[in-house]
Amino acid sequence: MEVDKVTAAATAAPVSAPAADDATPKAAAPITLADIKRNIGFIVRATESNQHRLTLRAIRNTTAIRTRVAPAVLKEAVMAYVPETHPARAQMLETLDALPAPAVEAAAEPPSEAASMEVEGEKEKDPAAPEGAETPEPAKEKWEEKLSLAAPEVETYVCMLVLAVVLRSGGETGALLPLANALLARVTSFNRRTLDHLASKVLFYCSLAHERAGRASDMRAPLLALHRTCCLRHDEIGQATALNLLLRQMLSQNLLDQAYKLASKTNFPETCSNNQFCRYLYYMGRIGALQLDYTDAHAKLTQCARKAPANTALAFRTAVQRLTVIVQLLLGEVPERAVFNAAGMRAALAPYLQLTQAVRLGDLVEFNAAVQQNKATFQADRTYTLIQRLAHNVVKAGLRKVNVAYSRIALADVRAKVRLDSDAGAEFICARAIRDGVIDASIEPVEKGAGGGAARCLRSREQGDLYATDEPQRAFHRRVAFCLDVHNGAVRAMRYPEDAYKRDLERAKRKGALEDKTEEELAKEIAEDMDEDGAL
Amino acid sequence: MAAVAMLRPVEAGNAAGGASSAGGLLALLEEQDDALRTHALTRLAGVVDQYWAEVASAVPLIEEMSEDPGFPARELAASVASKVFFHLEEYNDALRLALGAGPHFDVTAKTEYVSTLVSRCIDEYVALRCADAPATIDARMEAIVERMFERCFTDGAWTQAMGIALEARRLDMVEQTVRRCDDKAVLLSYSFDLPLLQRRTQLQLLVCILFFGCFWQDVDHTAVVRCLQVLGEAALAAEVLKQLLRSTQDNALLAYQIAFDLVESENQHFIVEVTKHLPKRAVKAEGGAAPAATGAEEGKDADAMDTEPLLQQAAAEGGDEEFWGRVDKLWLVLAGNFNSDLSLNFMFKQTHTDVLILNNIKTAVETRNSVLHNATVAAHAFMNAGTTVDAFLREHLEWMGRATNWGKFSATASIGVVHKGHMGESMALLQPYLPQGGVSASPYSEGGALYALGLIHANHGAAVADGADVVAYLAKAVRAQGSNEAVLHGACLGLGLAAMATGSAELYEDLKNTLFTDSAVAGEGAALGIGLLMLGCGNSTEASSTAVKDMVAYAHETQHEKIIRGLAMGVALTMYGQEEGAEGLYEQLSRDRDPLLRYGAMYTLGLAYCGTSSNAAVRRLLHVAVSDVSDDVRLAAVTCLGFVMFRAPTQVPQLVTLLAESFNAHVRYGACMAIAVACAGTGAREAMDVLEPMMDDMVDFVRQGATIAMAMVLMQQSEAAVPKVKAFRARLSGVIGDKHQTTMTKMGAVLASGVLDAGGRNVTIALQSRAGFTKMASVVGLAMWCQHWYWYPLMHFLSLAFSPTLLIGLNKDFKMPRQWSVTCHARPSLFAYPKKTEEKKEDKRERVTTVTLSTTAKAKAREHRKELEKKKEEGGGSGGKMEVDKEEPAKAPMDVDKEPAKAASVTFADGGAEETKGGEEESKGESTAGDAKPEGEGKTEEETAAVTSETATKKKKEPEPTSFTCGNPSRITPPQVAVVAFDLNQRYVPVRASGKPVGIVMLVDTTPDADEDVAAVEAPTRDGGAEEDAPPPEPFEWSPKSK
Repeated sequence: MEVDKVTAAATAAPVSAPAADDATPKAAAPITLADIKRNIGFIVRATESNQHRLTLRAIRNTTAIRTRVAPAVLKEAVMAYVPETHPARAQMLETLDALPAPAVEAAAEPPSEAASMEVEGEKEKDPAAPEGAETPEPAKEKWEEKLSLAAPEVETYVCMLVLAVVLRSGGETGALLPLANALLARVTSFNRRTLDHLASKVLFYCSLAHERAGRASDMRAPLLALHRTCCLRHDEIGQATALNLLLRQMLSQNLLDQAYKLASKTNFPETCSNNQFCRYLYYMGRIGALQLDYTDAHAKLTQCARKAPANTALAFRTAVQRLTVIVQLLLGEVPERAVFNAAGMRAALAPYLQLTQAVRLGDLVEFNAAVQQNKATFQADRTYTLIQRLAHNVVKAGLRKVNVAYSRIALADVRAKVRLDSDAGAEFICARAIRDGVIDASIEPVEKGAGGGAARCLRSREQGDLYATDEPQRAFHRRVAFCLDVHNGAVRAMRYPEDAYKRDLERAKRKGALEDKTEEELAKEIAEDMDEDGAL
Repeated sequence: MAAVAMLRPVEAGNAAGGASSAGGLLALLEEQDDALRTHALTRLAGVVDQYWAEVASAVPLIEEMSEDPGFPARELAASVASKVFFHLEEYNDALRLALGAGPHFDVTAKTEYVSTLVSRCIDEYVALRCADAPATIDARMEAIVERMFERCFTDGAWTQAMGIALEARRLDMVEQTVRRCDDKAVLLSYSFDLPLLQRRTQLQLLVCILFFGCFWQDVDHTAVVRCLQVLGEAALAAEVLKQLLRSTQDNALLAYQIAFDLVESENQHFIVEVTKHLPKRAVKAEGGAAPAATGAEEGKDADAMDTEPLLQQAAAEGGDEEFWGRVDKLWLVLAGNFNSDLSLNFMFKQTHTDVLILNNIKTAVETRNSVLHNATVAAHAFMNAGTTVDAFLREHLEWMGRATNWGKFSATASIGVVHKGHMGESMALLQPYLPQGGVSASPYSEGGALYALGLIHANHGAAVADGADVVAYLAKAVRAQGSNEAVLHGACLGLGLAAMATGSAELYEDLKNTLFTDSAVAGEGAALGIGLLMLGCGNSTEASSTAVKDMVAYAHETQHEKIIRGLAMGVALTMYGQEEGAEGLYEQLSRDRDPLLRYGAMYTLGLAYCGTSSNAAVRRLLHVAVSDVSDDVRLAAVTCLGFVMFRAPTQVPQLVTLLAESFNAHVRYGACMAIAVACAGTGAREAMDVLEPMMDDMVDFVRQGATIAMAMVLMQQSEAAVPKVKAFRARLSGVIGDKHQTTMTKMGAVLASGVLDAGGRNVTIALQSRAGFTKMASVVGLAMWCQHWYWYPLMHFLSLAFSPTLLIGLNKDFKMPRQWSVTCHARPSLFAYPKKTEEKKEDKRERVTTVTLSTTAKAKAREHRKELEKKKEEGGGSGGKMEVDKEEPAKAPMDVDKEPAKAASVTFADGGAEETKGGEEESKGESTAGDAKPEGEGKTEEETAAVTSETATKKKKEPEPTSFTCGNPSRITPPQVAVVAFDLNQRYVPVRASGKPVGIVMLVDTTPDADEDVAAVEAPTRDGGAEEDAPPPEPFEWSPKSK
C-alpha cells in the first residue's frame, strides 16, 4: 500500500523537499477568488484558442490553490462558476460546508519554494492573464461571453478543485464517493476535446477517492469503459490516465497477469503527458521485474527516473530508485554509491544500501541478516518478493569475486569462501554459474598426486584484453545514441512560434536595406568629396 | 466436472465486483463438449468488456469456433470475438465478425460498441457503393444499413438518413426519406447544400428529390427553382413561375423575385430556356404593347418551329388581363432590359467616382509612355464601369487621342466598359466609331468599337431583345472577310461576348472561317470568340464538341503562337463548369509538348472545377505549380487555384503562402492572382498578410500583381472597417508619382487605383450569386482578365466580374417606394464611401476660379496673351499642361455635380448649384435616413455616407450612432449584408422576409389603397444626359480646335 500512497502523492501533491527554510514560513498570501479566477482565465483562453498548453498551465498553477485554499473561498467559486443546473452542486456546497475551515488552513503546509516560484513566475510572465480578475468595463461583456463558451471547462475545473481539496482534508472518504461519482458522470457526459485534461484530473481524484475508501475495485469497470471511450474519442490524456489507474489498481491487488495482459494489449499514448508516461514506465518496470524480464524492466525504470520531475515528486522518485536498485542487483550489477546518497532519499534507501553491500560482497550471511532486519520495510515497499529472489545473486556475486581473484581454486575453498553447505553443492552451483555465463571458468580435477581422488578445482579462463574487442566501440555507440535520443526528444518537446522564420527574414532584409543605404550614402559622400576636390 | 468447479471463482469474482479473472472460462473453451463451450461463451459474452485483455489471448480459438460450421453457438462466438477486436481497436475485424453475429449484434442498442461499428459499417458500405468497379456487397452489411435507415426514420433523423442515402447513392432510400419526412423544406435545403458530391450523381439525386417534392403546397418555391436551375430543368422552372403568377398577388411578387434571382445568376442559357417555356401574350391582344413585341422578337430568335406551338399554347393559356399583366412583367425581368436599367439607374445616380484621383494619375503619367497611358484609360474605365459617366473622356479627348494603334483599340473599347449594360443605346453611342460602309477612319478604333459593343451586351445577346440585333450586327462584321485584322479581332471578341454561352453553330461557323484564315491577330480573336460562344458547353452539344476537336487540331497545325494561345484559352472556356467532363481534354492537353497548350490545360482544369473546391483538382494544380518547366504554365496553375477555391476564400491565402515565397517570380505573381480571384472584395486579413510583403517584391511585375490583387481584396472596404485601406491609397498615389518605379509597377498601381474605386465604388467582384450559383460571366471575366498579361486589351474583361452591390425595393409596378428602408446595425463609418481626396482639391479649385475669372470677362485676345505669358513663366512647359488648363472651364460644372457636399459649403450661387439640387432629388429616398437620426443630418440633404463622413469631421465629440437606416435604393456591400435587417413594421414588407436584404427585393404593400410615393426606374438616356452634360463624345481624329 505504501507504494501506492507514494505514487498517488507523486501525482496529487508534489511533495516539497524538506528545505531548510521550512522553519521560516514564507508569508504566503492567502488564496482568494482572484487566484482561482486567474486560472479560469487561462482555461477560457485555452478553450477559445484550442491550445491545451494553457489548460496545462492552469493545472500547474493549481497546486498552491489546492493546498492552501479555504473552503469558504472555494464555496464562492462554486457559487460563481458552477451552474445551478449542475446535479452535484448542492452536494458540493454541503461537503464544503462540512469541512472544518481552520483545520484545512492548519493542514495546509507552506508552499514549496518551487511551487510558489512557479506561480509568481507565471504572474510576471503573463500580464494578460488578469483578464478574469480586474476586467475593464468594455471588455467585461466579451469576457462573459467567452466564459459562457467555456462553461463546461470552467465548471469542471472548479469541481476538480473541490474534489482535490476535500480529498486532501482527510476525514471520512467513504462519504465522498457519491459526490465523486456524480462529478465524474457529469464530466464524462461532455464530449469536448478542450476538456480532456481537466476531465482526466477529475477521473484521477475520483479513483483516488475510491482507493482511499478501500473500494478501489468498484472503479475497475468504469475505468475500463472510460478507457474505451477515450480511445474512441481520441482523448489521449484520458486514455493514458485511465490506463495508469487500471494498472495501478491491478498491481495493488496483485493481479499481475491481468495487468500484464492489459498493458500488452493496449497502446499507451506517449506524447500527451510526461507525468503519465513516467507513471506508465514505472508500472511497466514493475510488471517486467515481477515477470523476470529484468533487462526490459531496468530500461523502463531508468527511463522513468530520467523523465521524472527533477525537484518534486520525491516519493515517486524514491520508489522508482528502490525498484531500480533491486532490478539492477537482480541483473547482477551493482548500483553506484551515489544513488543512495541522492538528496532526500538517503534514509529511505538505507536498507537497500545494506542489501547492496551484502550482495556486492557475495556474503550470504550478511545478506540474510539484512533481509531479516529490514523485512518490515521491504514488505511495506512491496519489494520483498523481488528481494527474496536475490539470494541466488548473492552467491553468484561471491563466485564472481572468487573467479576474478583466483586463476585456480579448489572447490572446497570455494565452499568456504562463499559459505555454502557442502562441496557437492558448491560444484553444482559453480557448474550452474558457468552455464549461465556468470563466470568464465571451467571445473577440472585437481592434478594427480596432490591429494584425494575426487577433488576438483575451479579454473578461471584468462581474461582477454577487452579494449582489443569492439566492445568499447559498442558501448560508445550506445551512449551516443542515447544522447542523440535525448537531444531529439528535447527538440521535439519545444514549441516553435508560427512564422518565426519570417521575422528573421525581415530582420535580415532590414539589415540589408540598411547596408544598401550606407553604401548609397558612401557613394554620395565620395561623390561630394570629388565635387569638392573639383571645386578646389 | 472439473470445468464446473473452475467456474466458481469467476462467479465469486463477479459477485465480489470483478476482482478476478476470466481464466477459468477460457480454459473451458478448450473442452471438446459443445455444451460446455457454449456455456463458456455465454458467460464470456457477459464479462468480455471487463476481461477483454485476457480473452484476447484466446481470440484465435473463439474466431475458429465462429467459423466452424458444426458449432451450434457460432454467432455467439463471433459476437464475443467481435467485441474483443473492438477493444483491441481492430475495427475492421470487429465489423467482419459482428456481421456474422446475427441477432447478437443489436443495431438498436445505444452503446459505444454498436455505434462505432455501425458507423464503420456505413463508411464501408458507402465506399463499396462508390467504388468504380461495382463490388458485391455483403447482404448482412446491407441489412445493417437498412436497419440504420429504419432507426433514423423512427427517430426522425431525416437529414441523417438523407445524408447516408445520398452518400451511398441509394436513390430508393432518398425517395423513401423524402416520402416519409415531415419537414420537407429542411430536407430540400439540406440536400441542396451538400457539398462534394460528384456532379452527375448530384443531378440524378436532385431529379429524384424534385420528382417527389416539387409540387408540395407549402414548399419553398425559391429553393425549388434553385434546384431546377442546378438541374437545368427550365420547363419545370417556367411551370413553377407560371403557377405562381396564376395565384395571389403576393405569389406573383414572389415569382418576380425568383426571376430577379435567376437573372442575377447570369446563366444566360438557362434563362433563354425558361423564356421559351413561358406563355406569351398572343399578338392579337394589343399588338402595340411593348412586351408583346419583346415576345415576338424573342420568338424570332428561337427556332421558328418552336414559336408556332408556343403561340398556340399562349392562346390556349387563356387567363384574364391581370394574369397577362403579370406575365408581361415577368418577361420584362427575364428578357427585357429592366434588370440592367435598374442597375444603370442606380449606378448612375449613386456614383461616387473621385475624379481627382484620375486627374492625379493623368498628370503623374503624362509622359509619352503608352503602357501607362493605356493603363490610365483602363483605370478610368474601371472607375466608371457601368455608370455611363464618360464626362472625363469627353473632356480629355486630346489626351485620349494620344493612344495609337492598339492603344486606340483599347481606348475605344473602354467606352464599352463605361457603358456596360447600357443596351438600349449602345449602337447610337458607338456610332461615331463603328465601321461605316467602306469609309474606314481607323481600323483600330473600329475594332475597339466592335469590342465595346460586345462588352456592353456581354452575356445578354440572346436573352434580351436588343441583343439579337447586336449579335446579328457583329456576326455581319465578322463575316465581312477581307477587313482589317484589328477590326476582325474586335468583331470576334465582341461577337463572343454578346453571344456568350449560346453555343450557336451558325456563329461558330463564322468565327471558324476567320480562325482558319491563319492571320495571327484575327485568329486569336476568333479563337477567344469561339471559346466565349461555346462557354460551358463542353461536349454536350454537337457544335461544341466539334468546336473543341477543331480547336485542338488547329492548335497543333498553326504556326502562330498568338492563335495557339487563343485556342488554349478558348478550349478552356468551353470546358467551364464541366468537372469530370473535362478530364479527357485535360489529360490530353497537360501532356502536350507545347507549353501554350499546357497553359490551356491549367485553365481547363481551373474553369471546369471552378468553385467546387475539388481536392483532386487542387492537388493536380499544386503539382504542376511546382513541377512544370514553363513559367507560364506554373503561373496559370497557381492562378487557377483561385478559381477552384473561390468559395473558400479564407483558405486560399493559406494554400498559396508557400508559393508566394517561391523563388520563381512567375509563381509569386500567380499566387497574387489566385488570392485576387478568390478573395476579391472580402477584405480578408489573411489575404492582405500574404500580399503585403509582395508589394515590396524584388521583381517589378510581382509588385504589379500584388498591388492589383490588394486593390481587388480591398474593394469597397471602408477605412473604418479595414484601416489598411488608407495606407494602401497613399501607397498607390506614391508609386504612381514616383519616378524611380518601373513602368510595370506603376502600371499595376494605376490599374489598382481603378479597381479599388471601381464602378463609382458601387460594385464589387463576386464570383457567386447571392443564391450560391457560380456567376458564369464573372468567372469568365476574371479568367480572361488574367490574360492581360499577354494582351492588354483583354483588361476590359474585368468589367464582366463587376456586380453592383445594391439594395433596391420594388413594388408590384416595379417602382421604388421612397418610404421603404432597412436598418443597418453598425456604425455608419464602417460602410461609408471613402472620403474625397481633399488637399489637392484645394489648389485645383484655385485654378478653377482663376480660369473661370479669365473666361468670364476677358476678351479672347487678352486670353491669348495671358497664355503666352504663362508659357513663358513655365519656361515653355509641356503642351500637356496647357491642355489641362484649357479643359478646366468645361470641368467646373462637372465637379459641382460630383461633389455636392463641397459645393454646398462653398455656396455656389449659379446654375451649378441648382443642378446639385436636382441630383439630390433623386437620392431623397435615401436621405430619409438622415431624418430618422438625431444628428439632424437631414438638413444637409446629402447621401448618407457623405453626410456621416462630414459630420464625423464636424462634430468629433458626439459618439457615432450604432445603427443607421439605408433608404431605397442604397449601396449594401457584401460584409454589410450581415448587419442589415429588414424592418418589418413598415408599410412595405419584403415578399421573402427570410431572404437577405440585398439585391433587388420585391415588396408587398400592406396598405395597397393608400397613395404611394414612388420613384420610377429609368436608365440614363442620352437625351436626358445631354441636358446637363457636354455633347456626346466625338471621334479622336477630330482636332480639339473644332470643339
